Order: sequence, then structure tokens, then C-alpha cells
Amino acid sequence: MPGRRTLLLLACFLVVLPALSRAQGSAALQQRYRPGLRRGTVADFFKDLRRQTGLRLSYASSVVDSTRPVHVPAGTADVGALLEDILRGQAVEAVESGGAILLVPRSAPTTAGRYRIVTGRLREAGSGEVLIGAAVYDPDLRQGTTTNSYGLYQLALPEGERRICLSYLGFQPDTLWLPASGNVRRDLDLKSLTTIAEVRVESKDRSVPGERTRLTPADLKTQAQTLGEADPMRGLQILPGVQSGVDGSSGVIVRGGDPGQNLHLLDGVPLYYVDHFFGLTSVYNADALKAVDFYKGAFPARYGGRVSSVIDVHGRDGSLQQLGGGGTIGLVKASAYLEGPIVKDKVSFLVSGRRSWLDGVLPAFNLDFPATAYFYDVNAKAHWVVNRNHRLYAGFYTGRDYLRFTSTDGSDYYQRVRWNNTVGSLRWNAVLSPRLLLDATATYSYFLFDQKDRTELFDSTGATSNGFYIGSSSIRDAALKLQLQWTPGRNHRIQTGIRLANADFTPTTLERLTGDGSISSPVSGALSSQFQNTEASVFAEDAIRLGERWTVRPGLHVAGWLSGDFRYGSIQPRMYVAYRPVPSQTVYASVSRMGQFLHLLSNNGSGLSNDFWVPSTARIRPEQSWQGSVGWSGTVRKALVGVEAYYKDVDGVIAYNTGRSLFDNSDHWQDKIEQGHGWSYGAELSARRDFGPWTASMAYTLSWNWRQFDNLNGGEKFPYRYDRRHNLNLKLCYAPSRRFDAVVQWMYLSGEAFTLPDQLYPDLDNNLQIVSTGTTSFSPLNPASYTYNYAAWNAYRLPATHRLDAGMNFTRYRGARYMRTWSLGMFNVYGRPNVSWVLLSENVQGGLSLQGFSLLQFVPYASLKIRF
Amino acid sequence: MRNPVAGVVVASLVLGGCTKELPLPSLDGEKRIVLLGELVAGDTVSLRGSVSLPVSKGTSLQSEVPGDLALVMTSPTEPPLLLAAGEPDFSLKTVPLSAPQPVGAGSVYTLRASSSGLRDATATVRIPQPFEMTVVDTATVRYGGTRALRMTIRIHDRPGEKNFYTFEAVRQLLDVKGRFEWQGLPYTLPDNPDDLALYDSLRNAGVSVHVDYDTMPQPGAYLQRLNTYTDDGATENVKISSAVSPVRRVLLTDESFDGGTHDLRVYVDKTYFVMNETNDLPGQVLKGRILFWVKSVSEDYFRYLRGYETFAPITGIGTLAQPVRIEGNINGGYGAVGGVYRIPFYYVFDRWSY
Repeated sequence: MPGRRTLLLLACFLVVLPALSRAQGSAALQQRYRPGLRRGTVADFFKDLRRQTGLRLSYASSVVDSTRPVHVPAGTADVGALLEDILRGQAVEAVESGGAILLVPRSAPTTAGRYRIVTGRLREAGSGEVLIGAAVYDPDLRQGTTTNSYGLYQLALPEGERRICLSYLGFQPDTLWLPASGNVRRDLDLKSLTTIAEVRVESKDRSVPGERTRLTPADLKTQAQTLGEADPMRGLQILPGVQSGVDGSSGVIVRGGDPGQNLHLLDGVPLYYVDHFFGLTSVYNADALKAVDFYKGAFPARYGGRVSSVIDVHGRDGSLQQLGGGGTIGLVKASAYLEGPIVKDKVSFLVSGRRSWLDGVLPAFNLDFPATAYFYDVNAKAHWVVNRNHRLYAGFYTGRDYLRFTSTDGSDYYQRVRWNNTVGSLRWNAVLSPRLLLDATATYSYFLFDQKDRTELFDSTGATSNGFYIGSSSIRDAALKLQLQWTPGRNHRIQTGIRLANADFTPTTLERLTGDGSISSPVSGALSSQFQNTEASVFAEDAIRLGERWTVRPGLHVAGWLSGDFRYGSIQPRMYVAYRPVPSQTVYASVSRMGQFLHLLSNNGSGLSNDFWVPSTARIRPEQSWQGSVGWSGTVRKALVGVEAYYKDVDGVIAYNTGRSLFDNSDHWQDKIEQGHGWSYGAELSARRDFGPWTASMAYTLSWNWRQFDNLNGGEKFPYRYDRRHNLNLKLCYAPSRRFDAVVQWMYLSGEAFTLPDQLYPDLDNNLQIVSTGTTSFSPLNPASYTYNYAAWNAYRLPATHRLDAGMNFTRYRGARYMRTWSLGMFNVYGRPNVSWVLLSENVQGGLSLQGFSLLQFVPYASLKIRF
Repeated sequence: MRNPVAGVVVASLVLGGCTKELPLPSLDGEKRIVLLGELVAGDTVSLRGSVSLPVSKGTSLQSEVPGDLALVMTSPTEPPLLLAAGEPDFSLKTVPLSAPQPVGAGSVYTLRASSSGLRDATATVRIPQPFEMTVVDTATVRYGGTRALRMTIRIHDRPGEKNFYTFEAVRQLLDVKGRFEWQGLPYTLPDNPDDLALYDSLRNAGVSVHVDYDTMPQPGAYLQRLNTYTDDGATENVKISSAVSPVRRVLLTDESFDGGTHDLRVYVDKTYFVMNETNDLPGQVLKGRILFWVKSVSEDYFRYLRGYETFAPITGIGTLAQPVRIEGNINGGYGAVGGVYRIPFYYVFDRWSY
């Protein structure tokens, strides 16, 4: 079978790539446009052009004189031709990029053959916060880059007097003038549009076709919310190739992977648990976010450790210039943050926190709930500008989810479950030379899942005593990472680095405590299994420009996992190729080998996450994948369109091999894990178009997703639980002004696969005249009455999941800094009872009944957000 | 509730859920014959038969037990034997099938079951050879917070063959009758109040009274399984579960001690080593005892029991656990008939003196 998959992969490249490379859509400049006026200022015509065509125009006010009166002939013409008329007399030309039209100075002469390096840092004016992913672009050469996670950019340009344009969504673009020769360092502050007069300027798309999708707070603001907060994980769920697990949860399933195959990085520190409130929201606090980079296919070589996706979350650093803050209060949780300079322009801080507060409110209503649940998290960050070239960062995050079930029958029984996350980081970011950037990071991450049951123990006299059962699972990891970015010339940008990590795993521990708190372990010294592992990885990649149209990025990631019992190595080549037949279109292909040493055994079915991270051992091999994808991105009839096909093959996926929980097994947890093979393939389509204040977008995924284990389902392949054939997301935003915006989203997911027995038959023990302890009678379909016979795994389908979410934001500004936003909306507007789990039981007529349980219907939200 | 409106709002926010009936697949699944039970060396033949229920739209759990189920048992040394079918038991959904002939250790039996409208089902059952065991020691200990009877059972394995052992503990409720003689006349305890009064007066007078006890299993009172634990690393239970997980049967192969001896350590929960009239059979004065069974079982039955031990009915449906496919030894049907050589021993709890 692997040979067949390799052939399929090869076919993708041989057949689809050439076909796609020939495909070219309509360019924005070639669209037909009939002006609604014949006389007016340049700005009037720009406004009319945007209104009629929905096209985005980007320009710097220092380049274009928008107040100049112009007159154009009547009739319909190409947008490009009309712009020439409108801009006649100005040394400006229109170029198309990412579906938008850039108005840039006309080409200037270059000094052939001699290049210099232009570096710098882009920040937000007023706060000093660095801008991640801002576009830095030489319009004459149609050559550019984006700022990295420290706001730094490097650009190799020919010598000569040049201009470079800088733009970032939600900020006023600007232009830099470069001297005729020599390496140049230029730092620049861009002004946020919320602090200046209302100007409508669009930026180019911030995603790299086929490689990365970037979400910023501005993107999150225009999405439907849950619990009154814009959750970045829900922003990812509406991307092609991504689906949620159980409806309503914030987890993501990427191209057939499981949740444990997603690498979550918070400022570079791996997170092992990213859910709050049992998956209704994530640990990422929107107040503390700067950007989220999402990778699902062409993985850069600097990433490793998971096989399905990378979710790289960049937190804000805190304002270097002024004290500010804000807060949000919703129906079930509240959050607040404070930021500002400790030493102006030198040292800043940011502290944010969230907490749910239903547990404090419910008692006031006298609601006799047998459960108590809450979560909280705290983000803290300090940022020190040592000098122009050196910065230091310190970050800290801690969060907890808590759930407690209490007996309602008056007994002392309770069950308590906690999920704890703590991470910390220290980072040094340095510009060693105009060509060389350094990033050094030390990280610490700790995850603990623990469950405690209080039980009553009986003895023959009828007396009772209390005891406790405590199970826990934890990971503690510390890592050092060094990363260099070197720009030796115009056509190369090399990144290389090394990462060393040491991790302590305790997949499960189990203790029993007597009532006085002393440990009463029945097995001496064998109740826990601890593993210590060392992980080392090195990587290198080179982003190579071949002429004006080709970009090639070969890379290699080499990882080794070592412990006393085993050594695993993984050589992971990466390749990304992009071809731009015209500036507005890109055809690309990628191949990536990924590997992961950790495995997540996760329960996504009940909505109560029981996550067990288990390491590879001498018996459990790492998961390793090959993934290939080809795609095309461009503009079709004023819409940004992307098409991509992929094939992914993962060896070493894991599953439970018995019907018991991992916590039932402290000593032999490895015996309960089955390793097998998974593969998925599919096609993805995305489109987005602006119609003035309206923005419509869609994402569709057609996919197949399989698993095969030697000891499950008789060794036959079977559909993965999240083998959902169709996944469609539609979104419509309306933002007539910065004071109001609204969004409606509709999603459709084919039903997930699940296993039903094909036959029931009477129970063995019953027919040996043996009943369970304390039982003297039989009842149909209780666990002792029937035995289930399973013929095939995941052979049945739940009903399709679909729902409509809607929300709106009312924002008021007062002065430059004060902002207040009311957010109102509803999750699952038409109350679709999407099934989260099922139960086979007997109905009142004595027949078999399959009951589907649903949550989250008609869930409204309202929140008030204040920023100052 | 002080503020019901607000409470409803909050509850709807928190829960907002419901259940709904989902359609079951219309599979028109084929019903199959089910055979269950053990052929125990030295015992008479006693099995159970039934029919499976396809999981399909319209399947009723109140279906009838097949009245015409016929089971023929043959062995190389004996003529075919048609087992007698008893009255169907609708609570168990099976029909008893029995024969007075004893089952022979080391014998191989072939079973063929038939019923109108169903395909025939067959099974081959190999009865294990005799083996020996001794109880090395017993003690009452605290095991994981539970008072337990610890036993070390030494199994003497037969060399040169693969053997499979199980251990299980059940409580048996008994009607215990005491009989004594006084001055040549018989008296019965405890049913006759006059006899009981005489007995008490004799005891109070310091007279030594010899009482003989008769025990009678209660009709309709089933054996009650007792939670058992083992921390023996050679057992299958520790491999598939843990030392502190209660099990129905302790499962052991002779893989590590073929032909030798093995000391199997088990712990039996003593919580129910007491008569509790309120919870057990109200109104009846019953005593009881614990039956311990050490069995050598056929390989395919052992495999079935291993799946049965890990079986959880809702596996595969909305849980993280994989479904467990329990492989039986009934060709063309479902269930299992085990070949068993059984060594029982007893533990008597409560005083039987009156």
C-alpha cells in the first residue's frame, strides 16, 4: 500500500502541478470599470473604484497626490487604463499584488550587479509594539519580504536610490527612501488607523500561499464568537483543511490529524493543553495576542515536533511608551489586561488575566448543580530594549481548568479534575549585523492533569472510612533554542538553528490514600512510570529566489530522541516551490517530512478532555509523516481564490487497544496502546471577495481519512473518526465603519464516523448464573446483560453537523486611546441539535434505540470590552 | 430557587443541550445461534442456547427465545447425544440445554446446534487434563484501601502443553439448616421457635450441643461475583488493566512456568463476606459461603474470557476506548463454550451456630 500512496503523491506533482501552472485568472487591473463620475479629485475616483469593483487600493500619501482634480473620458475601460488616466502627471504606476492594487513610484534605474542589505524593525507608533508580518516591499522590483516575529525585516536590494513601501493591516502605510549605496538600517513606526482620521487603506494579503496563514486581532474581530470572546482557534476552524472535533469545541483537526498532532507554540514555548472550559474556548487570550501563524502543509524547517500543523502564537510585548489597559466582561467570564512602560522606550510590561465566574454566580441563584467548574489564566510579559540591536523578553503563562462533581445524595463522594499549564520563556533577540539576526530562547513548560476521587470504604461491620484515589499525568520540559537568519545576497535568505530539550514524562500515576492522607499503595514502588528523554534537533533552510517568478525553499530538519532505553532519529527534508506567472497568481507545491516523539491519547467524544501525553519508548515508535501538496492562489473576478490538493501519510498513529481507560493502568500503559498507520487526502477551495463594506468568504474541503492497525478491525483499514467528506464554511461580514461591524457564519460538516455493534447476544456470566457484586436481578441492556459483537470499526455515521452563528460589534471611540465595544451574538442561531455523543439503549417499546446527545443550541453571548 | 428566570437563563447558557433519537441502520442483519456455558470435567452437561439480535431498525429486545433449538454433542468415544432443552428463561433470554452424562477430562466434544430458519452453529470443545493446586497461605490484608482476603495459590502445571488458568470468587447464598438431637429426639434450627428456644436454653445452661448443618442453595438466588485483584505480573489482568483494578476473573497462562509451579497471588474483596439481609434477600434468614474456583480452561475459551474481561459495553460509542471484538469459538454463531477442569474450594463466612 505505501507504494500505491507514493504513486498517488507522484501523480499529484506530475499531473496537477503543470496543469495548475498553466492556469491564470483575470487580473484586477484588467477588470472592466465604468466610473460613476467624470470629474473629481483622485480620492473621489478611488472611492468610486472601490465602491463599484470592491478592489483594494494601497498607496502612500507621500507618493500619490489624492487631492489633484482629474477628468476622465466617459465609458467603460480596464481598471489599469483608467488608473493611468486618473494618475496622469504623477510618477506613479499601478501594480497588482495579492488581489490588491498597489500604487507605487515608477521604476527607478538600478546599479546593475551590486546589492546591499536593508534591515530594520517596524513598530506601532505610540506603543512601540513590534509589528509581525508587516509587508516591506520594493514596488519597482516587485520584491519584498515580511517582518518576523520580532518585527525585523531583511531585504537585499540593488544599489541606487530607492523607495520601499511598508504596510500592515489596520495601519497607515508609509514609504522609506534609501540612499544610493551601502547597507541600511531603518526602523519605522507605523500609525494605527484607530488613532488617526478614518482612512480606508487595505493591505496585501498577509498569508503566504501554500505555506502560512496569519491571523491578527483584526481578523479575529470579524468572526462570530463564543462566550463573548474572539478565539483564535475558532478563527482557524473556518480555514480550508481544518475542522473542529466535537461541535462547539475549540480544538482543531488538521488534514486528518488528531489534536495531538498540532504543535501549539506560545511565544515559542510548546503548550500541551490548549482548552479551557472543556474545549469551549482556548487558552489563547485575545487581549494578549499579536498574531497567529498557522502552517498545515509546507512546513518551514525551523518547525518540528508535530506532524499535522503548527500554530505559532505571538503575544503582545506591552507598550513602551504609555500606560494602557482594558477589559472584557461576558456572560460566563471576564478578562483584563494592563500594559505600559516601566522605563519609557526601554522596558515594558504586559499582564493579562481571565477567569470564568459562573461558579461564583450560580450559588446566588440557588441552583443545585452537582458540578463546579471554572478556569483562569494569567499572561505576563516583560520586554527590555537593551539598545537598537538587542532586545530581551521574559514571558510567563499559567492557567488552570477545574471541575468538581459532588454527590447529590448527601454522601461525601466527589470527583475533582484539574488541568494545569505553566510555561515560561526568556528570549534574546539580536541584530548581529545587517545580514545576520540571532534569536536565542530558553523555555520551560509544565502540564499536569490530575483527577481525585473521594470514596467511602465499607468493611464487614458496616463502618465506613474515607479514601482517595488520585490519578495524574504530567509533562515537564525545558529547552534551549538558537536560531540564526542570514541574508548573504539578494536571492538567498538562510535560516538555521538548533534546539535541545529535556523532558520528564509521567504518563500516569496512581495512588490510593487512606482517610488520614497517607498513601496506601498496593504495589510497592510500581505505581508510576516515569520517563526522561532528551530531544535534539537542528535545521537549516534557504529561501531562494530564481529570477522574478520562482521561489524555492529547500530545508532539512534533523531530530533525535534519546533516553536510556532507545534512540530514535528522524531526517526530515522539506521543500517548497512557488511560481508566479503573473504577480497576482502563485502556483506552488511542497513536500514535507515531519516527526513527533509525543503521542496524545485524547478523549474528544464526551467533551471532557482527558488528555494523556505519552512519549515514545523502546516499544512505541515516534509518529512520522510525509505530506505533499500542490495548489494555486490568485484573483478570479475580483475574488481571492485558492485551490490546494494534498496527500498525507502518517506512520505510528496510536489508539487504545482495549476497552479500558489509561488510568486503569499505571504500570503497563504501553500495553494498552496500539500503533498503526493513517493516511488522508483531499482538496481544498477557498475564496474571498470584498464588496465595499461587505466581505464574503468561503472555505470548502473534500477529504478522506483512514486508519489501519494490525490488531484493530481485523487489520483492515477503517475510516478515522473525523473522516468527514465535506466541510464547508461560509462567512459574510459587514463593516460600514469602524464603529459597527457584523458577521454571520454558516458551517457544514459531514457526520463523523462511529462504531456500532452489529449484533447483541446474551451475557456469559448471566448464563453461568453469576451476577455482579451486589446484584440479584437482571435488567436489559445493563452492562451485564448483553455482549456486543463488533463487525467493523467506524462503519456508521452521525448526522451531519451544521449551524449558523451571528454576531455584531458596536464600538465607540473617545479620544485617541479610549474605546468601548459591545459585542452581541448567538452561537447556533437555529438551534441545530448537533450530536456530540451517542448511546445505545432500550426504548419504552422494548426496541433498540440510538440516542444522540447534543449541547450548545441557541447559546447567546454579550460582552463589553473597554480599552484605554 | 430565588430567581428562577435568571436561573433558567444561566442553565440554558451552560447546558443548552438535548437528546434526540437517531435512526438505526436498516441492516436486515442475520440472526445467529448463540451458545454459552462451560463443559466442566466431572460435571454433567449444562449449557445455554439463544439467538442473537441484529442491531438494526426495528429490532426488539423482547424477542422470543428459540423453542426449537436442538444441540447435539458428540465425542470420538461416545455416541451422539441430543441435549434436552428446558423451559426458556426470558430474563436470561436463553434456553437451558443439558444431559446427565458426565464430561470427561481430556475429551474433545463437537457441538452442533440447529434451529429453524437459522444457520447451524458448531463448536469443538477440548476439556483440559487434570491439574493440581494448593492454597499456600491466606491472610486478611488492606489492599488499596479495601479489606481483602489474600491468597497464594500454587499451581502445578502439566509439562509439554499450553495451559490456561483462571481464578474467580463468587458468593453463594445458602439456606442453612441446623439439626441436633436431645434426649433422642431430633430438633431443627432455626425455623422452629420452640426448638430454637430449647437450643438457647441448653447453651445457656452450659450444655454442649452438637449441631449438624445442611446447606441448600437458594432457588433464584444467583451466585454473586466478588471483586478480585491481582498484582501478579504474569497474569493477563495486570497487562490489560492494573493491580488495583477489580477483575471478574484472574487470567494466567503457563507461558512463564510450563511444567513447573507458579504461586498466583490474588486478593478478594471481603466487603461482601457478610450476610446482609437487607440488601440481599429481604426477609429471609440466609447464610452464605464463598466459592473459589481455580480452573484450567481451553485456549479459545481463555481468549474469549480475555476479551470479556476487557469488554465495556459502550466502547466505541462516544468514548476514547476502542471497541473490543470478543472472538468466540462458535462457528456460524456467537458466544463461547469453554472446556474446563475446575478445582473448587470454600471459605465460610459468618457463624453458622445458632
